[in-house]
Amino acid sequence: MSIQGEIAVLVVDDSRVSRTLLIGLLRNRCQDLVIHEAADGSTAVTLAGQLRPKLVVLDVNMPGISGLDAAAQILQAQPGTRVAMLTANHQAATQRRAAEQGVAIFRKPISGEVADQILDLTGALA
Amino acid sequence: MKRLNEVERDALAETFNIALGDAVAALADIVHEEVQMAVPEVEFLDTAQLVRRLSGAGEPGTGGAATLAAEGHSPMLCSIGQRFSGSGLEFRADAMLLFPALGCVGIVRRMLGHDAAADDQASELEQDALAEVGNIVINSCMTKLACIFEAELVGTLPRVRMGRADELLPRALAGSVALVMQIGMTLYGQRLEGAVLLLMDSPSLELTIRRTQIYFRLDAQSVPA
Repeated sequence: MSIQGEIAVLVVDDSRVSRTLLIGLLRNRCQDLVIHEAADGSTAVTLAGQLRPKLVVLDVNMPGISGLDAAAQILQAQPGTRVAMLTANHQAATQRRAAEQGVAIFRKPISGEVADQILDLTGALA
Repeated sequence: MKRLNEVERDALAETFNIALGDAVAALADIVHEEVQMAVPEVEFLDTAQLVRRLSGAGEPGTGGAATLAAEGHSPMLCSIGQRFSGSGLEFRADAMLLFPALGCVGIVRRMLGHDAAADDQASELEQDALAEVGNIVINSCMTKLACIFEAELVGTLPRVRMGRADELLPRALAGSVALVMQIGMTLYGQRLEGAVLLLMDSPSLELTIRRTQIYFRLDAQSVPA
């Protein structure tokens, strides 16, 4: 459960290196983040239900359910959650599916600029 | 197998040159360093030719992918591979990013700030980093192909393997044709030769040719307006 003033973030990627890179960039930009990690979509859905993060950042291609399917389940259970997809798979079909769900999509590899845009979804940088 | 005419071959080569440009830009973002890239060479080989070339058994001076095994450090190659299939299309292909094992493990160690020990065995974290590099580079190429197909290409998770060329090439696609894009780059002051392979069976190659004809309007033999 989030403590007042802190922003709970869930980072979901099967690549530990990618999670570490993203978490490092997010932490450098905002000290108030409480960051949790998951390595697959099913764990992400479970953790999102328990932790109720303000922001969830998901990879698309992961073992088990895809990041987009996990995002749909998270948004159905907690519609107020901000969700961002961070993926190397930026095909038109993936972008369209993300748009249909109303989630932002960003292209890997992660950069500081993209980390800013992801945090903007929460208003954390305002 | 259908043979490509010169215009079709040129169109496919140009497509993958553009895709590779995106891929190398992505690689530069990952390593936080400018990647100096030689003009990529795109060619088509059958799998037997490909194994010979990757094993360094090609004729001297032929260039191409043979240089991957001719580095003089190690005959071992590192492959990051993903299998793609078309959504609603008769298309399947194995996409592979290949580098000499020692060179690519060294680069990943630099990326992660690890000691550059002189062996080609990647730790679990280094394999994870290699998988992510391959995932980003390969998906850059496949996104361009999906654009030409006007369809979705669904990929498996990236798999990192080390081995000789004949061990790495997927047996399931024996008899298939390989579209080979050789990339030479300078990274962290080191010269590194790599290749992106797209191994396709005959129906997939024919579909790729048809879609390329449509995308570039080659059937109309049009003169640019």
